[in-house]
Amino acid sequence: MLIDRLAYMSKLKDVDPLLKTIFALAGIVICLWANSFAMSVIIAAVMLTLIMCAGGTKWKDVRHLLTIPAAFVVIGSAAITLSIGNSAENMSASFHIGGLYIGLGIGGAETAFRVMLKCFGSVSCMYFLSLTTPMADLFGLLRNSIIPNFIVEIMELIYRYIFVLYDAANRMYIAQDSRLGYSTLKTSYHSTGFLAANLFVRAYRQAEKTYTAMEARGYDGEIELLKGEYTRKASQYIGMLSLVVILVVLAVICKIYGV
Amino acid sequence: MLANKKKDRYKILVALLSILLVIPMTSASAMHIMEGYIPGGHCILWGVICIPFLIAGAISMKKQMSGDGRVKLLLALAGAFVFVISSLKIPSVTGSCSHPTGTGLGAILFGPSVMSVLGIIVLIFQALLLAHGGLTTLGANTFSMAIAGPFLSYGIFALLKKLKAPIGLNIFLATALGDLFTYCVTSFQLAFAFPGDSFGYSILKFMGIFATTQVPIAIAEGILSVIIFNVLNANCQKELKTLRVI
Repeated sequence: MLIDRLAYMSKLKDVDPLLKTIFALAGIVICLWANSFAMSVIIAAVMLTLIMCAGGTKWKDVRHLLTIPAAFVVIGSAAITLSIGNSAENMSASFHIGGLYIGLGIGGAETAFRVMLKCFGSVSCMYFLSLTTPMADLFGLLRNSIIPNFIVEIMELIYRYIFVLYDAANRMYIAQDSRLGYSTLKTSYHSTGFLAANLFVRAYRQAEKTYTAMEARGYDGEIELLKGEYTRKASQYIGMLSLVVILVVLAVICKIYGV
Repeated sequence: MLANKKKDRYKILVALLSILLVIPMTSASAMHIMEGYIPGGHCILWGVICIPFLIAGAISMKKQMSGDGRVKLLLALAGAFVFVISSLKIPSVTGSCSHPTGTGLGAILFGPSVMSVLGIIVLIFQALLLAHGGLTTLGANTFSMAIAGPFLSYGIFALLKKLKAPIGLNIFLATALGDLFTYCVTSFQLAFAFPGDSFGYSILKFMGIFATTQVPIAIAEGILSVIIFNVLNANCQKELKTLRVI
């Protein structure tokens, strides 16, 4: 999985994960609260700059990742722009179909554009977190939170086995595909069904095998892990926190001027 | 004046046609509400609505785990299974890429309240590892995909099982309707966030755009779930019995 690999390669990997999480969430909250064109762009620019310059992630990868939300954003924005009603008074242009008016709502395009940029800004914040912080570090944070430990443990196991099952599914797919398992629509359904069912059996057996292996090594219902070590430099804390303060000030200014 | 109106009509026609072109692009990622798409208040509201379901799920998990240590591993593998299933491609005629939700089948196999906890974990991973969905929209997505859909699927499954309907038909209806319901809830959430001039028409609009694209996907998911279940039924009686499906 691309994001996971990039997170482990990032130069910001060893920064305190709590700091990175707070920073990313603060970015999202500011972005949602400000709800302004300028602020969304500023936040996206800050986050993407940090990801690429401080984290060393390549633009090629970042560009590819930014296209992922595109499908939802395009359809969602189209839906916001469109307007349906029983009169055409709030529409700039409209169609009349069987008692209903379908058209472009006044201000609809502006709202859609605003939401599009807001989405872009906050997705950048999310990417800042996921491209600089490996999941293992986030589990460490969750263990210290109010979430019960057994849930975090299940999360860790799920994370581990996603890769195992993903790999197994991939190999099955290649095996089926090379035997013309996906040549027609009918065989495709058949093959996909078999793949999934096989995966279920694999998962079930894997659970039993893993449990036996863990019990043989003294598992008593708790998985104990070593805590990760992070570089804690005062400059990082001061830098990120002052950046948050600057963003808040900018957001207030954007709100006052309504841009 | 008349010419102007005609021009406007063409504009809208072009806009509507371009939407039709966009529709085949939709995939399961289009069902996850993206990060930053709904206002902060809505994020909190949906998060709060999810909490009781998650607590109930966690309690039921804890109860099941206390008896047998194996259950924890089984639950973990079930979560990973749902994640991988949701990333499988559904074969389709148009060549577009769509994914099953996998949560309907998961609810039938593992129970709906357990599914809600596994579902939110899967959604967190989908947001962070695949960039499908988001962190602030986690509550809204959890409600539609890990709570509403699975509970409906399980409800239909339990009802039809009681009515002694053929198991194939049962699984098909449960998973396909669960999938559709997930989309309806997503449409509702979006209409709630962007009501426009009137809430009712807004729901109609979002359903029209989101849910209609989902009908073929829901049918495909239903068919796929039946195939998966048939294979499991033929080969894994023992495992299914421990999960108390049959």
